[in-house]
Amino acid sequence: MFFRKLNWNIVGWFKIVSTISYLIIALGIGSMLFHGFQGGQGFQPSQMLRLGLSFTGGTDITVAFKAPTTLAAVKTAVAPLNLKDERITTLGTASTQFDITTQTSFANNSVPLFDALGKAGTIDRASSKITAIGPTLGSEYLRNALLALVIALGIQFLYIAFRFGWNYIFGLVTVIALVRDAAMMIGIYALADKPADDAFLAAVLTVIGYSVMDTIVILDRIRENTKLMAGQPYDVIVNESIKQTMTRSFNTLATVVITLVALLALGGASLKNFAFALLVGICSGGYHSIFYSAPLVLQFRKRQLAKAAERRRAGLADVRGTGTRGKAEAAALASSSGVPREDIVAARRERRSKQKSPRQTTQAAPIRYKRKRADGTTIVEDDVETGGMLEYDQTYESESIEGVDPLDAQNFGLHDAAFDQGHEEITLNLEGFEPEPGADHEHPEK
Amino acid sequence: MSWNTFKPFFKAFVVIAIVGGSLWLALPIQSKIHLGLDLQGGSRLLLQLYPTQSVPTITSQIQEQTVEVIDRRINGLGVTEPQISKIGVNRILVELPNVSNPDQAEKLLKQAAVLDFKIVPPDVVQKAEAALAELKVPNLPAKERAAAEKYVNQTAYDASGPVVYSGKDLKAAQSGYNQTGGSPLVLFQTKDPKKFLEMTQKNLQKNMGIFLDHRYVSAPTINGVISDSGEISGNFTQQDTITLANELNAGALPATIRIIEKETIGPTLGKIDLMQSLYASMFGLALVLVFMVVVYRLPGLLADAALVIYVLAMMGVLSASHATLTLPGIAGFVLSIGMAVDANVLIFERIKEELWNGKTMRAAVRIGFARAFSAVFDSHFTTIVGAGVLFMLGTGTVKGFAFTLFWGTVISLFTAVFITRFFVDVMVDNDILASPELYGVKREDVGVFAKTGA
Repeated sequence: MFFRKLNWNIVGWFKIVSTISYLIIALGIGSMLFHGFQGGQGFQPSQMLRLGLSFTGGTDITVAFKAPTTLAAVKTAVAPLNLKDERITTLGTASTQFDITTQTSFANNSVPLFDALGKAGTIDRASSKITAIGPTLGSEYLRNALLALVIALGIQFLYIAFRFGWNYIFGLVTVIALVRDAAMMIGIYALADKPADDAFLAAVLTVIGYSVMDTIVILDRIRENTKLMAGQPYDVIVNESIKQTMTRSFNTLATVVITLVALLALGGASLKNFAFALLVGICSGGYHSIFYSAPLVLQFRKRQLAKAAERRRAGLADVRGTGTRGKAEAAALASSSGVPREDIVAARRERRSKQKSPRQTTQAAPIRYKRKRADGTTIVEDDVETGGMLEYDQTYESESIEGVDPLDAQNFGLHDAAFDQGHEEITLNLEGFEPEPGADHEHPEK
Repeated sequence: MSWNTFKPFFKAFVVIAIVGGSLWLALPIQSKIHLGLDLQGGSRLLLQLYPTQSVPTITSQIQEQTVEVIDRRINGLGVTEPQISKIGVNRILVELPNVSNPDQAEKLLKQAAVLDFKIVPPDVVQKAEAALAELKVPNLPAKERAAAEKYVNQTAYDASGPVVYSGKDLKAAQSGYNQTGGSPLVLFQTKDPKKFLEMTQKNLQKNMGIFLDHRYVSAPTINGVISDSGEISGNFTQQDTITLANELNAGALPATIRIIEKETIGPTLGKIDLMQSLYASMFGLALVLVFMVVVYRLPGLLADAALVIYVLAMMGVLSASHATLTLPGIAGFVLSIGMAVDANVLIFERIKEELWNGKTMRAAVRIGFARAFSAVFDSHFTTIVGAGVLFMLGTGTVKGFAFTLFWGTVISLFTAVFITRFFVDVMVDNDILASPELYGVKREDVGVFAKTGA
């Protein structure tokens, strides 16, 4: 109710919304390039996004000491191990817990690591944990992760095609929103320099599903309103659809964000990274599906209409320029604005009659009957009466678009295709229609 | 009695059956829901089998044999409820909850435990013993340490004679103490006393070297003829002798094993993680429950009831499927709570709109549920795809998340649509609490958008 009464022109914000989205993605790409060059050895694509240990192989150890110690002591203790790309942080405020991540894997034997750490203090193994993945397994997991991403995207695309296959604009918009959400997640991860691990992959796949569903709901409403609000400008229809679904969009977003915030606030260190990735993705998904996707439909629609109008003019020019078919003449005609409607209709009728006529003149062979006589001989008779003209004109059937009434086309989802071929958009708005008294469509008995 | 009068009672029966069944499956909750190792503490080890000279290719038969050996060794360790599962043809997953000494358990798994008896020349014995003594020096330079290690691990074995007796031919081993010095050692009995007797007879007063995985352990002098029992002494601690006896009893591994993935969590830390994630889920659940009531009033309350049933049903599924609940699993569960009510949000918004469009209460409910279903299905389908793919291809830790999210989405499709519908229908059909205000629509707003048709 709240959003429906607001006088917002959301479709008008498209440029700002799109710019913000581009900006974040550009920042992400920028920071990825920065990370790529950071190593000092030229551009290294593998450095662009910091991969988590589950994909590079390595060790993540949370070590608890029985007595407080210092970060420096821990660093000195592990120094002889020559850890690769190690990051050591203090957990909590008690100075007893430290987290070390390194790309050196201690999967097969973690004794040297614990022995080294033991020099910094007595280790409380009951409060410590270690996760280690061998390097070959890491690259295997990375392969699987990419495969999972490709398969999930493939299925989502198939589902989008199934849902919106009749309307390439809707399909395209859903895919664009999905790609943007994924790009935004990766970008923000690169900006925050957080490691993209298996939990990140899980978050991306979850967000992609969520984003597709969010977009579909709004686009469905546009489709529905196109019928209900027929006769109104398309931007009004889109804007109204966004406002109608906005409460729902915000509330579904809110319920998920609530649970994620609970996880982020109380879930402990292990779940924070995961909840953060999901939160970024879900918010980005909400932002795109509400403020970006539906207005994007309008942009595509405008472009489509412009193209159709051009084609119409070109078609008219073609017909008028019969005989010469001069390109210059056709172009001149096409560019002339304000072609009268009657001319278009007349030209189309003319063109169609020309297309149809050669097919109709080809006469089918007359139908013949075989008849068996009592003496065993067979005679063949021509069906003189109809001359084969009763045969069904199949050429008409196969011209599905040409042959379908524009109104039917709209109802059966062929509308866009028909539109492409140069049909007028005809909408029938019976809202508030009152038959005039005495008109010939009135019932005779009245 | 026609089906229509009977229908609500049937539905009520289904709802009660679900609640009862879930409770029966899930209670008492501590013993029915298996906690993952990350929540109760323990070790999760993924082992990879590598071919050796004697076993050039890893077959499922080798894998099976290895599993048997590992099983026997872990039983000897006294770990409660260990789980050993085969993965593919060359991997084995070992899960050891509440393992008291994870380092020892790992060593136990990796140790090939090939015991060889060899006759060792006296000079080799001298050098090997010297190297062993050197390794005990605390601050030995790395280079010398490496040289000593190499001698003990490989050179001594290669410099000795052929294998005269093998660990495979030992019957039973147990840890014990040297009667005189009290130092720990391993006592064994031979499977082939005649062979051992002939061997010792032939090599009297020579050094019988004992090698474990080609590593020099000790080389006692054969002082007399031995037939059925003997002892292995060396620089052992009591723990070492227990482990070695256990390994000898369990038999040698048929292939080389390396741990390629390891997750070891201390029990204290696991409990902290469990409590934190439980608080987080309770908090998240409570917030969602409150949100639904505040925003959607009566139907929100009904959706909350359905959500509670959903949580119960999830517990039931988790117990019935014997799945383990891991930390990412709890995350997936919490997320699915947030997503489960999405269906209700879609439906209730639609009902509100239908009321604004001037529909009657009953018609609005019927149309609201019917029209929102395609959106509800979309949301569930797209989530199920993500979770399903993740479950098939994800890593071990992520699988737990995918599992709960997958089942959460499937079950919530049922609870959020069917059960909520049932509750709302009962209210509206019997005119109990069926006024638009209770559905978040002001009375004067009923039908405000009726004229525009939008």
